Order: sequence, then structure tokens, then C-alpha cells
Amino acid sequence: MSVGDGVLGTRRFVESVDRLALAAILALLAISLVTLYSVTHAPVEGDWNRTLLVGPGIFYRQFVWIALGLGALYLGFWTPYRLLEASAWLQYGLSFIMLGVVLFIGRGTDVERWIHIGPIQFQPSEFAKVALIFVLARYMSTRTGDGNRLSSLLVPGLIVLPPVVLILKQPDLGTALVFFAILIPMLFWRGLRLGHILLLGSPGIGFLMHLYLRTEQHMWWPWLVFVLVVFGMMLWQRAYLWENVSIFVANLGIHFLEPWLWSHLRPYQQQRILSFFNPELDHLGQGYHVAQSKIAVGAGGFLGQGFLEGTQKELAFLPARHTDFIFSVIGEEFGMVGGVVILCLFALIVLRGIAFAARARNGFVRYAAFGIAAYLMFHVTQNVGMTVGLIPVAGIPLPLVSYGGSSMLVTLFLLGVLLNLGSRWREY
Amino acid sequence: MAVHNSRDAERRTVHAAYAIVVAIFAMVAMRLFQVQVLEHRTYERLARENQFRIKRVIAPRGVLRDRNGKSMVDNVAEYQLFVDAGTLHDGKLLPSLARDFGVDTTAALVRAQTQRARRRSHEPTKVLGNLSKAQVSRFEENRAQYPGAWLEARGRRRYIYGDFATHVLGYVGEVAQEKVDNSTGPRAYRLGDVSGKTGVESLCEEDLRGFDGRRWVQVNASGQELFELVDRAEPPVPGNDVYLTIDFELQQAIETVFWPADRAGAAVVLDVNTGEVLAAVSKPGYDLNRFAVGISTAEYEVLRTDPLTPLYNRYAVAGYPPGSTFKIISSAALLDNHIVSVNQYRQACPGWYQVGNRQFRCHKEQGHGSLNLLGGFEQSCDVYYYQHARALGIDRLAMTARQLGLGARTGFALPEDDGLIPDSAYYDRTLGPRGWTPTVAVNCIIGQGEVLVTPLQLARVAAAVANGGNLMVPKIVQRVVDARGRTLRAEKPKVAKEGVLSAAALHFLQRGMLQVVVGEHGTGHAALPDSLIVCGKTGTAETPGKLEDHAWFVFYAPHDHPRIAGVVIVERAGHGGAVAAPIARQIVAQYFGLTDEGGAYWKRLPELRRLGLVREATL
Repeated sequence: MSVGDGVLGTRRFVESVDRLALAAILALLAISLVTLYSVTHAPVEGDWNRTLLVGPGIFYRQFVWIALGLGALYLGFWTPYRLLEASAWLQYGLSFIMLGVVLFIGRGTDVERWIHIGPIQFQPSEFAKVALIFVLARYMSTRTGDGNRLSSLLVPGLIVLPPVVLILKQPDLGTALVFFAILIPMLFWRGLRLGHILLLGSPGIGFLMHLYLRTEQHMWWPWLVFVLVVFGMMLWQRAYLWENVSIFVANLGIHFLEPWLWSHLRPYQQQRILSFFNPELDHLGQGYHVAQSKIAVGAGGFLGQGFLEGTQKELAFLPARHTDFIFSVIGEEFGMVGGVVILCLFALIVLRGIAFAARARNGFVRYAAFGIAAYLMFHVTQNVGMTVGLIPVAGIPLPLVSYGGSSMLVTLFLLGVLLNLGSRWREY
Repeated sequence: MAVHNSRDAERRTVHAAYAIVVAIFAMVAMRLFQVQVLEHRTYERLARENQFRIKRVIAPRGVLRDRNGKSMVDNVAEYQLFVDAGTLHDGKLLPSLARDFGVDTTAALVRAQTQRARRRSHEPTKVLGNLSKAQVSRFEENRAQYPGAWLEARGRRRYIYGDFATHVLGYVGEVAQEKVDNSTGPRAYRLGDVSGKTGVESLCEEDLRGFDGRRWVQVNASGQELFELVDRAEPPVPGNDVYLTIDFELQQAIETVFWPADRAGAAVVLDVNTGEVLAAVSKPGYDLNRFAVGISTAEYEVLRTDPLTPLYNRYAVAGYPPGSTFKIISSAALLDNHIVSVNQYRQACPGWYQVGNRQFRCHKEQGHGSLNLLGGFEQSCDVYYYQHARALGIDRLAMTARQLGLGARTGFALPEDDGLIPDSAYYDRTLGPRGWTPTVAVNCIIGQGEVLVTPLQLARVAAAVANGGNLMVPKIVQRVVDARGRTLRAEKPKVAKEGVLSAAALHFLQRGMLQVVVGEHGTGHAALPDSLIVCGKTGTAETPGKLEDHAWFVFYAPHDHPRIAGVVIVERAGHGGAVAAPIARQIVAQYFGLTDEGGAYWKRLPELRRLGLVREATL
């Protein structure tokens, strides 16, 4: 920051920041506080059957997290993106080391995801996501060529692979998916066609079909139909012959790979997947939570039960009503109106992020802004989709709204970077 | 598409990106619309039915044990029928429960009414307790017919020996409304809870009840548990076990073996050094289990109107005229006030004593001849005491009695009575300053008149004589042990007052109580077991009306190194030496594990003489 930026750069911040996006961020933080207040305060004092499981301390601590998070946002805004670009590989290396470390020294009950340094604990995977965005942005901004050739997908794929492997070893399937949720949109932004993304994703879709068919007594003819459709798409996309052959082989390979992969999933992961595809199978576990979350959201109706009036939030079924399942509380108390408002606020930030990316002249800014938008997009849709039963449960909090420090700090830092990128679109 | 070749392609990508973002958010919003608007009714109903109940797990009540750890009171499972307060008025559930299980509809409604008045409608209402096995299986089989009702297993108090130690153990019952209203916090009582009502059950309520746990369960519309959040469960902390000082074998033997049939009365046995109550009997007792399951009015009425008043705690709450056992106190008073000396003989007892125009009779009509204090005590000669009554005076007698802890509570933890030790202030108050004469002392000195003592008080006096003059606080709770077996509290012996007897009085009383049992003219021969020597004092207390006398025996044993002291009173049973002393002998024999056939005195007389214990006390 230079002279004329005001105290600690506030003047420059106020003048150049994208007000719309900032307003949306602040509104979401306010909603977070309102909701956490509701989650931690019982409407009926001393009503024995309506005991809240989450103490009021959560509400007050969230103030602290938000304050720190706004600091992180400001820090992100003032971090020169060229520094982020220059240090991208360093960040990537560091995150890789930390992910390795967490596998060996990380503590936890049956899954090791956290690093503890004194009182501080954080998830290296959060850091790895950030590093991935910047590394991909740096790599893509320096390479040109047809983004649709399989060879041009090779290096980004190789970049994503090491952290994903380490995270899968933790094991944390949900977080590993986030890496693809960053990679694929950034490839798209580089010019990869949607049809090709579908083809590229077809082995994945085939894989999911296999998982689904597990709940249907391994009846696999629907998958055969799907492979034929893929083959048809390939005939249409004949230009990329050798890519098509690889993908087709991959599709067939899935049929043999899936049982092997399945046997390597942890039981709780198998359970989650099965219960997503067939909630009846698991009335009491993961599927149960989703069912209960849907009940809360559905009971909210169009206008909601009203602030503090939700009854389901008090009941014991929502395991993380202040963290991962906070959207069901919002859905119950503020109804569809409240839910749509939140979706709009997030959509606003994402769309602004894409706009920043689209108008930027600098390649790194283009890709980094888009990567951050994709990051936010995925977290929001995954979380909300999970609470309304669209997507399987993965332990992902709702950005800016859920209680918790790690996610709050990382998200707000990234949004700070995004705002900065948005304000510097003119630079080459 | 290559980056170099077109702006168009780039623009298309940007637009596609916008479109995809909007489409995905729109998809989520549509899902919200589907769940929150289209399917709202379904989910609203599910939410209403989504009865996630926090069920209380009532902590098992602590067990009552005797001094050796034998359990006297424990818990058994009992099924109780609960209904949701909200379903009480739907007009179908209650009538069908009343039809099939005999639920008292009115009582259930009243209970729900009370709950509502106290803003506790969200708590389930108990409509029936103590279901039989047949009822339980009938309910379980037809559960669907009774939506909103469910069974819960709770611990019911079981008094293993029924009417054993009735007035020590006490009973539990449904907690009083008042207590529910006044209790707050995590251990607050709820309607339908059990709490100790009397005896140790009430005394140690806080220890016994433990800490309730909680279970988080989901129940369906008919109240059936579907699912429990096991990791949320807070298991209850069982109540602490209370070890009483009671010796089960002894108490049991007194109540069932030694006690004469159809007689009311009481017995207390103390450890002379610690004041621990080894046995506290009040006859007759009643079956405590009847109260634990909820006694019916009719049953209660039978108990209440029983002529032997089983509900009355005789060992500590009843004040009896002590009769001649009071001579222990009188003798101490005479000696300490130097009215008599031990070897001073008095004029012969003719069998009666004249004061003014009033004649006081000795219990032996033909008279005792000339006696010293020891003789008077041994043969329980009333006239000997009459002769000194006015010289002693009522106030000095009362002072000694009070010194020995009579006329006041003993510090016993369970309910007890003061008894009554009259003095001149008492007579001034009740009869007016001119309404009485010093002659009252003549009656009181032999434990008649207005004097009233509780068996417990008198046992304590005997213990003080035995242990050298320390008045102990009678102790009923020995220790409290938590569910893991750790001793939380062990109560130490407490001395209420030290040195309550002068050396002269102590020496005389120990000698005198020995003489009562071993002396040739002693009135307590029947208290002597086959081996070991008991010291004691008989009493035959006249009672108002023409009814038979109360038979008393106060004792301690063995004579040289006393360990136990006690009292036996059998109401309206005749002479203390004939009725109460044999019971005391059996108590001693039981406690020390002796063989006991009775009638040992004349057999053992030579042995007693050889030991130099028998002394001639008649002139």
C-alpha cells in the first residue's frame, strides 16, 4: 500500500473494492450470527424437552472468528497477487509437506485431518486448496494451446493428483472432490468444452452408476447403455481420436476398477455412499441425518417458522446444526425465502468473481479469480445440496455462515484476494 | 478452441460460466421449492411426529445395608404406563386404557391438570404403575391400539423382609407436589418420582437417589422407540449405598423370634462405646412394600385404626413411664445430692408408704424389710425411694435426669420425642404455683407420675453407665458408599456429653445393675444367659386405666467389659423381670453367640458366688 491509501490502506480499500460483493459477504456474516444466536438460544427457558445441545459460547466465539476473518479478508485484499503467483509452487510444496505430516503425526479418532500447534489446529487440506488455485492459475496463465487436447490436461491432472492422493489416504473423500471441483472449472475457463468435460467425466459417472447399482443387486445393464451413449458422443467428436480411445478404455476399466476401489473405502464412506443412493438402507445413520435435515427444511415452508421458532434445531438429530447443517436451521426458521436470499447472496459473489475473471487482462488474475469463484461455488452447492438431499453428505461447512474458524479464515482470505483481483483488473 | 483464435470463443466461455452458475443455483432453489413448498405438508407432519424425546433414565436408588453389608432394601424392575399429556384429551386413548388395564381415568386427568397448571405439560403423564406381566405383554402386543402411550421400566423399591425394621428403614412414595414445586436444577423432582418419606429412606434421600441420566431417542407416533443417539446417552449415576449400624441378624431375631406374639413394644440395642444403634425395634411393624407400590386408602385405614398402632414409632417417638428403670436415675440423684450413702439402711419397708392422707404402695405388698440403697435397687423397693423423695425434691431429681439426657432429644438422626422430665417449673406451668405439693417427687422418683422417657433415651443411659459416664449420640448411619464402592462418608462416634455420672454414682449403678441380675433377691434373674453376665434393671410401669403394666428391662453386657447396652419394653405385658428380662437375655445371647436355654440363674449361682459377685444387701 502506498501513500494516499489512507490509514492502513483503508481509503484505497473503500474506493476500489467491489461494493456489491463486499455487501453480500457482510450480509452472509450477519446471517451467520443471527442463525447461531437462534441455534444457541432456547425460546422457552427451562423447557426440559427442548434442551439445546449447543451452548451460547458458540455464538460469542463466532464474533471473534468473524473479526479475525475480516482481518484475513483485509490481509487477502492487500496481499500483492504477484506475490501469490510467484510463491505458488512454494505454497504447493508446503501444503504437500503438511498433508504428508498430518498423515504421520496428525491426531484424531479414526480420521486424521488436523495439525495441532499448541492451541492452534488447522486442516492442511484447506491450505492445499488455496495453493492449488494459485498453482493452477500460474500454470494455466503461462501455457497456451488447445485446452481440449488430452496432453494439455495432463499437467493440471498431475498437479492435482499428489494432494488428492494424500487426502484420500487421510481419508477424506469429500475434500478430495473439492480439488476436482476447482480443477475442472478452471480447465473449462481455459477453453475445455462442456461436451468434453462430460466425456472426461464419463468414467466418473460410470463409477457412480456402479455404486448406485450396488444398491440394486448389481444389475448392470443400465451402465452398458450409458457406455454406448458415450461411444455415440465420441463418434460425434471424432477430431480427438486418441483422447476418445483413452476415455473409452477408462470407461470399460471402471467396471473392473470399481470393486477394487470399493473394497478400499472405509466402512463409513461405503455407508455414506450407499445411504445416499438408498436412504432406506440406513435409517439410523447418515441417511437419517439427511432425512431429518430435509424434515427441518421442509417444515420451514415458504416463509419459515420464524426467528427462534424452529423446533427441529433443538432436537438431537442434527449432528452439526451449528456447523455443517446450519442451512437446515435457516431453512426451517426463514423458509424458502431465507434460503433463496442466501443462495442469491452467494450467487452474487460467484458471479462477481466470474466477472472479475472475465475482465482481467493479466492471465494469473483471470484464472485465480475464476478458481476462487469455483471454490466458493462448490462449497455452497455441496453444503446446501447435502442438507436438502441432493448430494451425499460430505463434511463441508457452509462458507461464511457455519460456525468455525478454519473455514471462516480461509474463505474470507480468499474472498479478500478475489476483491483485490477484482480491483486490479486493469493491470497486465 | 484455441486461446489465440477468438474473442468469440472467450465470450462464449464467459457466458456459459454465468449460465452454469445461475443454472446450478436455480437447481438448488428449485429443490428448495420442491421441499419447502410442494412437499411442505408432508415434512410439516413429519416434523410434528418427529418426536425426539429426551428420556430420563432414573438412577437406581441406593441400597440400604446392615452394618455387615447385608442388603435389606433393594430395587426391582417395575413397568409403568405413561401417556403423552397431549393425547389425554383425544377421547379414545384413556377410555381404552381404562377398559384394558383398569387405568383410573379421573386420577390421570387430575394429574395431567396439575402438570398443566405447573407448566409441565411437555412431561409424560404416568397413568398406571406396577403393571403385571400379563398386562405388559398385552400392551406390547397391541401397542398400535394405544398411540401416545408407552411403557417404561423403572426401579421399584423392594423391602426384602417386608415388615422388618419398619421404623428404621422407612418407606418411599411418590414425591409430594410441594417438593416438586420447590425443587429446581438438574436434580429437580418430577411428578411421579419416588422419594423417601420416612426413616432412613427420607434421612438419606440425597445420597440414595443418585443422578438421573438421559437418553436421546426418537419415537414414532405410537411412542415406540425407533432410534437412539447412543453417543449422546448420559448414563445415570446410581445412588449411594447406605450402610446402617443395624445388625440384621439381631434385629431380625428380636422382631421375629424373641418377641411375644401380639404385643406392642420396643427394643433398642446400642454399642456402648460408639453409640451405634445395633437394633431399633418397634412392634408391631407393617409391610413397607405396601407403601412402596402405593398404598390404597382402605389398606391405610386398616393400619391407621389397628389397636396396636403399627404406624407409631415406639422406640424413639413414644414416651413411656419408665417405672422402676428410672431408679437408675433416682439412685444417682440420691447419691450425688448426699441424701443417702451406699451403706445406710433405712427403716423397714412395710409394703406401703404414707404421705399425709395418701398411701403409696410398694410393688411387694408384704414389704421388703430394712434395706440399704443397694438392696432397694436390687429388689426395686419403692418404699425405699419414697422415703427419700421429699428430701431430694423434684428439681434435683429432674436435674440428674436431664444430666443423663432425659427430657430432651438425643441427637438421633431420625424423628424422636423429648420425653418428659417434670420439675417445679413444669408443675407451676401446668397445675399453677399452688396447685401441687412436693409430694409429686414421691411418684416421680419411681418413674411414675408425669415422667416419660423414650426407649432410646433409656438405652443411652444404660450405655453411659456401662461405658463410664459418656452419653453418646445414637448413630444409625454407619457409612455411605458410592456405586463404585468408595466410602464417601463414615460417621465417627459422637459423645453428646462426657462424665454425666459422678464416680460414686457410676460405681453404685454398675454394682447395682449387676446385683439386680445376680443377687439372690434380684428382680432380673431371667436376664442371665448360660454364660457371660448381664447387668440390668427391671421396670414394671403402671399405666392409666386398669390395663396391664408395661414390662421394662434396661441392660448392658457383659458386666466387666461392656459392649452392648439396651432396652426392652413390652406394652401391657406384666412384670419387667418376667417378660422383658428374658428378651434382653436372648438379645445378649444372640449378639455374643451364646447358647441360651433360659432359667440359668440357679444353675449358675455357685459360679457367681465363687466369683464373689453376689452380695447380701438385706439386713
